[in-house]
Amino acid sequence: MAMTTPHRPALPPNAKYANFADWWHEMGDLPLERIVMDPWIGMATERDLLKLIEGADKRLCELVDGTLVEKPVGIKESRIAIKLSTALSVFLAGKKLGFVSGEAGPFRLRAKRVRLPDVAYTSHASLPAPDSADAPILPSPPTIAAEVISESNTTAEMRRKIREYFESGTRLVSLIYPKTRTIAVFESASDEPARVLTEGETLDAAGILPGFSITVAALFDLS
Amino acid sequence: MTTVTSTPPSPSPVAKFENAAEWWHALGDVPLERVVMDPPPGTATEQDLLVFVERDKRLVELIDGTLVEKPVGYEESFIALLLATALNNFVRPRTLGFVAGADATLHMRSGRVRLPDVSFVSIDDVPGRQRPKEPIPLVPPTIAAEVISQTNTSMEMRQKTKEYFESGSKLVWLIYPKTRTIAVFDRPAEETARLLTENDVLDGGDALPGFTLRVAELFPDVR
Repeated sequence: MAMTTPHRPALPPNAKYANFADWWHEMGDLPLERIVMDPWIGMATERDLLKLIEGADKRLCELVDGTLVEKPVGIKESRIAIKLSTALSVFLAGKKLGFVSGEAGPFRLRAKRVRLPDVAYTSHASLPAPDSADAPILPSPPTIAAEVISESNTTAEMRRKIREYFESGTRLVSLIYPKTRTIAVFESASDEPARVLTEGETLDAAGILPGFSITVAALFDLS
Repeated sequence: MTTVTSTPPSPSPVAKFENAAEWWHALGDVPLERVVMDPPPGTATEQDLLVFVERDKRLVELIDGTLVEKPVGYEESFIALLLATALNNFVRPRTLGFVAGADATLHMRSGRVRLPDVSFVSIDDVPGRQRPKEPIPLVPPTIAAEVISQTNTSMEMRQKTKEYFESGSKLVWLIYPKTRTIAVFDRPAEETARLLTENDVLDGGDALPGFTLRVAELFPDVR
């Protein structure tokens, strides 16, 4: 008897995702509230991103494969971020090595993704051109990126982000967890951090900024 | 008698949503697995819908530019066909109108395209008293019946019921195989819906006077 192959309707060639859930998982299971729908998902551009960031509402968004994703914000997260950026700025003063930027500073990563690290250090040497830092979106990745984790950040989202930073050329990424008062330090694109720092320890910049350090306790001290 | 214009309304401008949560609620909180990603949400057209339904044999509804898959299943199909047969046995000899199945695409007043599992279109409700010839006719399902699946949400069914009545339906039957009950709506309000159980008789009301069917006949034991 002849074997019959079950008929399968051909899917359109650009059907990368079987359905919305597939796509959503790849985006890191983001809370739906944080996914911007105007412009529609997959159709947003850097211009749309800048409109939101610079617009009246100052909505902090990142651009991930044509979709704008809102960054969670909070006073506690902001205070911790400022502590780290202040410590970095004080260390860098007069050294002419690079600059520190905050949560509203966009970086263009690989594949035209745009991310807004809560704290970033960018070495002058890493810039493609001397005037690169004049553009609204920095055309290269941060040398060091730090993210202060909020309630609505998902693990899958952060894993994806870490991968994007390292694939783009970032050398050090720290995830700062206010809830557990710990810092996960990544030196490569891996799901597991190189080390996890707890309160008695010190965060440094592992060979990128020799001499820089801040104690974990100081970072989380919001008194 | 409902008067219906033969020209479909111009496609309503695609609704814009602040974020994916709002958009998801507008879809009726359907499982994300049922939301089609290609064409991308917000961009789908009636043409796309017809490609899915006619070529790929995938039953989808068009909701504000997004295609949403209808759940299908053996039991649902079996019950729908029992109902359609009973309706046809009553309707055909009397030339009262047209009974169609789950792949009948109907244009709603809202601009959405819905596919009721079983629909009866009264001959009085179609212009020219002729069977509609357009692929997606703008005629009200005088009676719309839905066999409820596991992945249908109550929000979704509420919205659908509302749309049917806005489009000119006189009766909506929501059939629940699990509880072997039928919710009968003669207006969108949920409070006025009657719940029929196996000992009751379903009737055509003003929509199809004289039609009756014992509820138990839709839920025969097939074990």
